[in-house]
Amino acid sequence: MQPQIVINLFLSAVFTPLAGFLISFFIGRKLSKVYYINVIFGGIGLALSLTALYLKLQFFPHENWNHSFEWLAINSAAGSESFSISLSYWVNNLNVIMLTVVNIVAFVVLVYSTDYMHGDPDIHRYFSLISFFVFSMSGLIASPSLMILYIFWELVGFASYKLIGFWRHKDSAAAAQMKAFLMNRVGDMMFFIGILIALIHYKTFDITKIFEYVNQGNLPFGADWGLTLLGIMIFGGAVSKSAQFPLQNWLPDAMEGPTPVSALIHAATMVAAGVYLMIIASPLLNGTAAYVVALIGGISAVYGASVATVQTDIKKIFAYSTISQLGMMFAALGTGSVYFAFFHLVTHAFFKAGLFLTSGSVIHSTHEQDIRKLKSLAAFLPVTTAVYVVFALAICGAPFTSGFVSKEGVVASTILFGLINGNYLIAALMLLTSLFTAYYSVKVWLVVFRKDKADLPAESSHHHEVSDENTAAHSDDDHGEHHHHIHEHGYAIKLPLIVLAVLSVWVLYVLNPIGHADSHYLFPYLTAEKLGSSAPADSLYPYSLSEGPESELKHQAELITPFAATGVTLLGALLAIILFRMKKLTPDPEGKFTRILYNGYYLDYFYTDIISPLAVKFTQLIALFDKYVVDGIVNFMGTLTVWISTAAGIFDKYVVDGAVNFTAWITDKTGFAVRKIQTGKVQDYLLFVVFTLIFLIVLASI
Amino acid sequence: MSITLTHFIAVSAVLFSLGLFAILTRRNSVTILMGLELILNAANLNFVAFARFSDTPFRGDVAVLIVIVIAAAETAVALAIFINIFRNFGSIDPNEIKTLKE
Repeated sequence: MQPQIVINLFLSAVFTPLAGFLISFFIGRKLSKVYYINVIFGGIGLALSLTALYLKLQFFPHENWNHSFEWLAINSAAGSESFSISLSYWVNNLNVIMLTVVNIVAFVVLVYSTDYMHGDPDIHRYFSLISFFVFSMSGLIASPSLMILYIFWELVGFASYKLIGFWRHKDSAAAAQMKAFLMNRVGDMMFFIGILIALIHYKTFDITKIFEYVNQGNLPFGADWGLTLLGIMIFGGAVSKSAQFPLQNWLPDAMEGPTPVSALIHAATMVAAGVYLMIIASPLLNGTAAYVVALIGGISAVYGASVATVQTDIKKIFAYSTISQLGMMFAALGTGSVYFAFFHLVTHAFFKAGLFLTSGSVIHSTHEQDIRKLKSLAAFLPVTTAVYVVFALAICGAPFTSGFVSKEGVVASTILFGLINGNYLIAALMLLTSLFTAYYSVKVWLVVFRKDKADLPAESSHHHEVSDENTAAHSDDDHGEHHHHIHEHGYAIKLPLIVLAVLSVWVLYVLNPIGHADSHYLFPYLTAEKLGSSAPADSLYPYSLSEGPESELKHQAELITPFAATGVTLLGALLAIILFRMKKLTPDPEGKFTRILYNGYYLDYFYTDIISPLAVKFTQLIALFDKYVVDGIVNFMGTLTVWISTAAGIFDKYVVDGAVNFTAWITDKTGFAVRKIQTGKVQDYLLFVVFTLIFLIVLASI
Repeated sequence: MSITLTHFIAVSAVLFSLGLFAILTRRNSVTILMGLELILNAANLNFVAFARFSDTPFRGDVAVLIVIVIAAAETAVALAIFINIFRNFGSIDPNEIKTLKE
């Protein structure tokens, strides 16, 4: 087995979606069914990445391949300092697994979309953008060079903006698109600054080289705060991309895009990019930066989960849920368990994609996404309901689901962090998040899916009131009948859901669901040393649950966690059931207390009412500066130029032209004087010849 | 007093000067042609004199015969030109022929 085979498979899997994108982008408008090409290419990409994954883990579990070649050599004028920009790709356990996850979710979403987007006039644009989205994400995964990573980072962003605003005739979609763009700009700028810090100090874009320098004690600006700054700046990119506090507002609004796109954004591509970036950059995090990551993650987790409890739009519930789950990943990462952050990313990718596709199925079937208007769907959508139960259990972290395994690890990491340094804040935030998560998951089950005998007779009337403009724009005319009875859609909808439900079962990840991290199938491939990054001295690993030697505290943390986590989960579920019995489960979102949560703690208003006016004021200030200082300088330069030109004009007129005219005048006069000897008579000329000859002879003989 | 090379050259110089004077001053082209002949003969005289007083085996006096022949041919051509000039300008006075100026 040659390593080159794995590398070639990996790179082919990266570029397959690009082929799909190009084909449907250029000929999609002409051929109506061309979007199946994207599905086929998605399947090819999936097959390639699965093969690469199998071969990599089977034959080369200990190897990291890092290929780079020089792209541009820059020699400074002094000649002493020169550096080259190299393009590079890497293949290691982490990114092969990540690529496979991306391809699985992407393929599932592509299959699902063939039915969901059926009949949309712009369907080829949709599919080509999805392929492009997947390609961007694959490219981001494939390179250790921060420059290439940043390029694909922006392409991922670009594709997601295009897809959020896919229904561009809707003002709300356009606004959501712009919001996503603007909020990502802030984080991307921080990420860019981080890259520049690394570039200025280390003269390289290659993240593995940067790790080496850091390990040798070569810190940015030669101080620990330099490393902290670098870590936080890179985390800034992840904050906006992964919709973390305080740049999380764009994600709920991204629901304006088609639902399968939400599944893709929330599971595998857009927001996963931030977590993936932090995972590969984790060796750069020192204690301070790691704590910032953990704290931001914890705050976002509680923020997202608490806001999700009162949302009325089924997609927004899951959107806020994503913010909280990503927050949990960052909390695990910041407390040292890089492995659990990644593991939760993988399991979350499947069950969150599943939840979104479930909500897509509900919306597709009922054309309604307000949970107050939906009820007893279990009677009509048995498959959707069944898979929802699996996904909901997984997101709550119920035993025997993938979510249980990963979430235990996340919570245990934070508890271990607390046990070691006595700071239980992050752990408390995680447990609070678990409570809210269980609450909203059970709430959706009770309100939307649970078969309620009392409601059933009223069902027939209920469908007629569902004509919300916010519903995903369905243009399928062949579904005109569905107002009379809600029914499951075809296999293109059902099979992806079932596949994702299967992927949310624990046995795919670990045989013993309450075992130590060592028993995870993926764990042996994803320890820090396997990823080629030994940690700097003051790093996050002392707190890590998944790294380092066994200790008493680790056992303690692993012992506490199942009880604590399962306890708060049950508490949350119980709370939802009690409130349901009291008929208070779906409170008025405009209530005194719920209003704060419903509006996301008014963070949107914070941005629109405080930040935006400040920004406008600042811009006006800049405009004044521009008007009086910059324009003043420009105008002064203009005036100065006019003066200088006038002076130069005078000089030109009198000196330069004078010299020319004088020469002409001299020539004129000389010619006039000399022309008299030109008589035209042969004898005169001969006379001149004779005298000249005599003159020359005399001259020669002197 | 014997006749030396200097005497020959002096006579030749006088002949040359007279010819040149005739060429520069005469108002009749035919006279100018005659001046030209004088100059040619001055040159011929030099040839003969140098041949007489030189010890070199190459006798320049042969050139005199060639010069006389060419002078005859030249005179014939010149007279033909004069006829043509007379036809064009109505005169063979060189002062009247000033078109070289243009």
